Amino acid sequence: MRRIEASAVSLKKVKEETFLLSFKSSYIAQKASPGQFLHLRIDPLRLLLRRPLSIHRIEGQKIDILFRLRGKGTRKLSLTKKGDTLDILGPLGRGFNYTDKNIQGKVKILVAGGMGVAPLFFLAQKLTAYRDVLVLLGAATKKEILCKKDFQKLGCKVLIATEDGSLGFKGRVTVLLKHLLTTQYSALSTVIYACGPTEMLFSLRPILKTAPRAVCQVSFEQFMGCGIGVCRACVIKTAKGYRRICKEGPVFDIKDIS
Amino acid sequence: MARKKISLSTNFRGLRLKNPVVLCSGTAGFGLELEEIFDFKNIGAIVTKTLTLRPQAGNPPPRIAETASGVLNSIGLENLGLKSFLGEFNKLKRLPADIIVSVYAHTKEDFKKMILRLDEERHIKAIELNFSCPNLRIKKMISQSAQLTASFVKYIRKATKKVLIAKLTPEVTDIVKVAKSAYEAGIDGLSLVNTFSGIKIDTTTKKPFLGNVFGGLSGPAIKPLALARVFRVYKELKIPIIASGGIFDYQDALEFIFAGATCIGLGTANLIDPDAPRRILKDLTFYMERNRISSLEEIRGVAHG
Repeated sequence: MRRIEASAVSLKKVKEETFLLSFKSSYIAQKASPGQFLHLRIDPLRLLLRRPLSIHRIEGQKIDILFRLRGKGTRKLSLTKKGDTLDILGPLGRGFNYTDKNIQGKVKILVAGGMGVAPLFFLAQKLTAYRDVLVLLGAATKKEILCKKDFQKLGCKVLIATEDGSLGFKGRVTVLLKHLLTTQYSALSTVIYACGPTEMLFSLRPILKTAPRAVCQVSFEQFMGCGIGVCRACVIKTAKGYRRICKEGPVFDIKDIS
Repeated sequence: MARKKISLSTNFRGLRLKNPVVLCSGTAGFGLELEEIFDFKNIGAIVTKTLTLRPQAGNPPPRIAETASGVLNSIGLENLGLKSFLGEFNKLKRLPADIIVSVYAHTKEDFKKMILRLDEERHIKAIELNFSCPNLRIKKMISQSAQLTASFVKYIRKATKKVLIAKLTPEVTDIVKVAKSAYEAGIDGLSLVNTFSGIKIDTTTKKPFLGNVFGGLSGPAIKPLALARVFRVYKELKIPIIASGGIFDYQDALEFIFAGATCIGLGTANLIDPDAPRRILKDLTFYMERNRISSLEEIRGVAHG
């Protein structure tokens, strides 16, 4: 982890209220692993705290951050211009486990709710070396589905779930997952990687009871202070008590979350 | 013309620090967490996260919210407890900054128990008594009563010869009265000020945003409020003070030194800018060079005329 200053390469509007910010950093490109995040100081004169943002994609030395407008921080970030200096602390946190031997032989399912695709794409970049990656993208409507083609280009199989049924499966992405786990994947050992709204992540727990052979790693978010484990602001309740999302997380085994 | 030699070394009632920058309790963990990105050469002392006799889980999340120029937090003294801390203490000894340990207990007796244990550790240079955590479910903070503050200090004072500092809440009618009672009871110095109580309401849920409802406000938003309290206490008592409240740059630091502060406490800044201590010291040194000041003693309290 280091504090670096990088200059913005580009800022693209991907969809309504959704942006892709790119910059170059050989340090972060080298050190980062999927599920880790960057802590950005966005507007030192008006916004005090840094803002945590997932690493979305790394190609060569180019780092992408995918974000949606949420508040003052993201709004200001969406006004970034090419050449602007970014004050970045990172890479931070503990990301997804995708290298363990017992994980390598299993079927991988990536489950993204809305902006939850942000860290999962970087994971898919690393995972596609092993084949058998299924990506489930969920959103309220077709318009909010992100990165479908990008995942397909990596060779992932992509299934869509929209709550209004405007594309793919009609219903929540977690319901689609449940359906798949009880039919096609019931006998197989799977590793599920999920990111999305907190409520969606909690709804995975009852679903997993139907798939005892599945392992599920989930990336959580919470309002953060320092991002480096010092202030103990961004905690989540686990079976062992409060744990810091910025340090022991943001990725946790869903079984440990109480 | 020969240049005057500039020294930033600071004497806090016999506690000699290499410079006046202190990392405030709760914003620097136990120091070790910061090693990767903070250069401890630029830090005079670190005040540890407040310890309690037994481990404490802390408050439910969310525990932090940003406000205009400020940060609201309600951590609730989450800590590993005194025993585990002492078990890990060897690792802390090698940090090239002095260690001030912050402690809290509900009763005088528990305070004393902790202090007797800390007194045995040669490397602990001072003890800060947290009489002002705003995030506990107690009716009153110790430092909201001059009598209570005096009786706690008097009782604890007997347990150690180490430098004793009391951290006070700014939320009293007359902070000078509380400061004076601590001073007369034998405190060596004060840490001024802890956070101001505040809340944020979530406009979506219409309910308080923080898990514990109330939080403590820190950051630039409280700087003038903290400065006024440091100013008043110094004016009356001329006692060593670790001043804190939104210090982010050398000009903030100067204001507090002119008001009478001995040490410059960084709190909220630690959460955001790991470079703040180095930058403040560099700019302070430059200021001193330009104004032919060789020691901060020359400018301490000068705002009082």
